[in-house]
Amino acid sequence: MTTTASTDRRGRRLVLLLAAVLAFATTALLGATTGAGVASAATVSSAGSSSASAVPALESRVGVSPSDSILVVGGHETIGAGQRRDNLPSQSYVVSGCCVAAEDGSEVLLDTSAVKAQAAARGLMKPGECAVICSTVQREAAEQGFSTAGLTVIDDGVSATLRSQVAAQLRAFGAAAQGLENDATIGATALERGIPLITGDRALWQSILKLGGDARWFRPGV
Amino acid sequence: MAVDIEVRRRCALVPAGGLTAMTLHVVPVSGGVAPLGGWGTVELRGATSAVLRPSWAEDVELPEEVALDITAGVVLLNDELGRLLFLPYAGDLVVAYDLKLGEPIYPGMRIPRQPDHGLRMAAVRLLPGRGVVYLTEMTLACFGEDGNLAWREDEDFAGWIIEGSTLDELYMLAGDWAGNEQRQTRSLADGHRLP
Repeated sequence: MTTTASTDRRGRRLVLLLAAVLAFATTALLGATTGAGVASAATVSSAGSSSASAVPALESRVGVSPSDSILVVGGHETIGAGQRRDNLPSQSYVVSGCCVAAEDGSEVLLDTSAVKAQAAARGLMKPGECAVICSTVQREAAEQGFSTAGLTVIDDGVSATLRSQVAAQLRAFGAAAQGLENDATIGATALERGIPLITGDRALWQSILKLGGDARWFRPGV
Repeated sequence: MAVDIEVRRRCALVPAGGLTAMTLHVVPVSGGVAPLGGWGTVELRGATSAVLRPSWAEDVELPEEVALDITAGVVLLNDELGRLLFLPYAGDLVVAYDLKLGEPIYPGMRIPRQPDHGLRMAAVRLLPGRGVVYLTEMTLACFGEDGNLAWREDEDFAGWIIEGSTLDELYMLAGDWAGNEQRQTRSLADGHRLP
């Protein structure tokens, strides 16, 4: 009888223990799912930007400081299947200065064409990104008479390897010889820093993508 | 801000049911082929070679400049009339073909471009019932639904984008990174700038 009673007690303890484990596992699973959703959103929001910088998990909304120069920028409409290679932002973002919702701006590099085509370039920027230019772009823009006021200037990349790789790709994609060296420097800077490049130069865009970088091109949206 | 709201208000004033059915549409180039429905295909044969294969006429070798730029530019088709229009991205040759006859509608149209290829850009905006507006860094042009040129303005348009349009007007925007903006309005009848 005693044996039966103790067996019963052991059985009840086991049941209670199992119930506790199940309850704990369910709680842990629900918590992990919620966390993964946030992480996924953060990953998607940073997918097009630098692989070297993480998007702050807490700031996923679009926001901007009050400014008299606030302007809602419309998104691009893409051509359609076949000619489309990138996903362009389809919603409008409120922009001010050179950053889009600059809470903790990750950098995006503009080439000279993007400096001039400011309205188009802004349409390719994602929330949390701030436009920068490198020294080569600053010099080229000055030669062309384009204003770079309002843009942060960073140093050109120093990797000769990357420059030669970009140059090789540019030649492969049929880039004109004029300006090829500068384009190689600009592309290499983006690759070295791990930041996206915005450009109107299709050969440069293709070259950066081919080398595993992130680049966005002013496709002729319809 | 007030100007932007006004642009949006005007762009919303297109009357419902008052538009002609859109017959000009973009043809995607995929896998080296641009399908033209019952009218045939455009096929890329190499980096500098492309051929138009009409269903009802002989093959037409496209100019090299077109072949070079065809995957970046915009190919437009009018299904009803059998007209093909190519608007380049970085190239300087606009071509249009009658797909029934397998012939150009008009001689290829040269447009001025920036000497630096990297600074060349293009934007295309379809206009319901009117055709298509084409903007490069040095040209603003309008083509009808039949692929014919309606008007053309060659000016410095570097940095400008098409912000919106109504039935009669085209709204354009340019700006710099210091927050300065410019806007202009163009008549869709002749491309002239409106006050």
